[in-house]
Amino acid sequence: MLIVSKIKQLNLTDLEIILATREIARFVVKITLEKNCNAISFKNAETASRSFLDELHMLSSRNDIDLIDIPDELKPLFDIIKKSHHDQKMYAPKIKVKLSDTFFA
Amino acid sequence: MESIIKPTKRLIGLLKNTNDLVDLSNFHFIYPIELLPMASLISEKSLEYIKPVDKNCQGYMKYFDFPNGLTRFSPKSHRFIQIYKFSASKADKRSLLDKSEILKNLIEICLSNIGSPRGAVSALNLAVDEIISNVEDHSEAKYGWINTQYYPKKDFLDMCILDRGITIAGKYKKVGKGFGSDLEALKNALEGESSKPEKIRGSGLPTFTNLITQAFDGEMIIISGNAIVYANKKSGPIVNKISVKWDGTIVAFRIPKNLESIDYTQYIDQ
Repeated sequence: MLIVSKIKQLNLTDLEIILATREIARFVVKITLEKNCNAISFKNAETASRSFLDELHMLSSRNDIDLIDIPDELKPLFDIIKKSHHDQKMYAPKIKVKLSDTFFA
Repeated sequence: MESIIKPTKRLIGLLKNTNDLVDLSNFHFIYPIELLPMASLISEKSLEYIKPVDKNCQGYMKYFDFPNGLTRFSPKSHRFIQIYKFSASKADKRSLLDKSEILKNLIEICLSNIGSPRGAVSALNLAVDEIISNVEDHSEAKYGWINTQYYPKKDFLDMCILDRGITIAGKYKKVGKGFGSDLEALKNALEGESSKPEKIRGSGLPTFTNLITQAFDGEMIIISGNAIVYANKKSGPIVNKISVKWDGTIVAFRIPKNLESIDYTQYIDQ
């Protein structure tokens, strides 16, 4: 028997919302589930932030939602996020911070 | 580009001399790093204040809705975002749409003023998002505050985002990672020590620092409790003490008009 899974997608650009912050990612997933969608499309999305993608990646994995049509410009960022979750390791710039005992003001 | 250090020192001086009355009478020019902390302090603690004698400065502050700020976002210009107070705890649709509008407006400010270099919008969006997400996820404050101004004659963009929440040290303490002082907590946050249980978190402040100082060649200031950090492209972050305590976290940055393209991917990884 052939099983065909039907894709019902939510287009992010239809929401007319900026793709930034974890709260907005949670809101997107809530809408996706309410509309019984099983995919979120990034078609025509120009930019998305790390927090947004990170939260969306985590919540979409938990809820079996596919992320599709990811623009080329966002792919490097999305790849780092996927790698972070896969390796359970944080990938971020290494910064050396000095501590001083003096008063700034 | 003139440095953000001078107005930051002026802010600290003002905070030191503030009890129940905030005296702004000597101000002739006020930057977001000064305007926003004073607005949130006066508004959230219901303090009295003396307006600047300088009529231009007084008019500017009024136009920017000092001290209470706006709770519903209504853009007036492509050169600034007035004082805007966003909900740091509510996730209702109205709050999210308002926040979304601010960030969209910010991108327009970036596009129309700092020369629209390719990649700048993504880089700025990434940097600001890290800070707004920190306010939402960690501060436990009721409000986050934001104010932005582009200075066409000076060719730089200033932004300040703050909360009057539990500070970085307070958040670490709450999750059982007590680093002791505000200084040590700020140092650890900048080096990527997460206050969340997942190992993969903690990229926020290092990414922000790298983007602002290296990608945009700008300057950044973070104040949390009685610790402050300053960084620019040449000097890495140095954490110092300040002689007053800010109950919460202030993040401010200054970026010059920049005509070179920015590849954000160079600044977000190790």
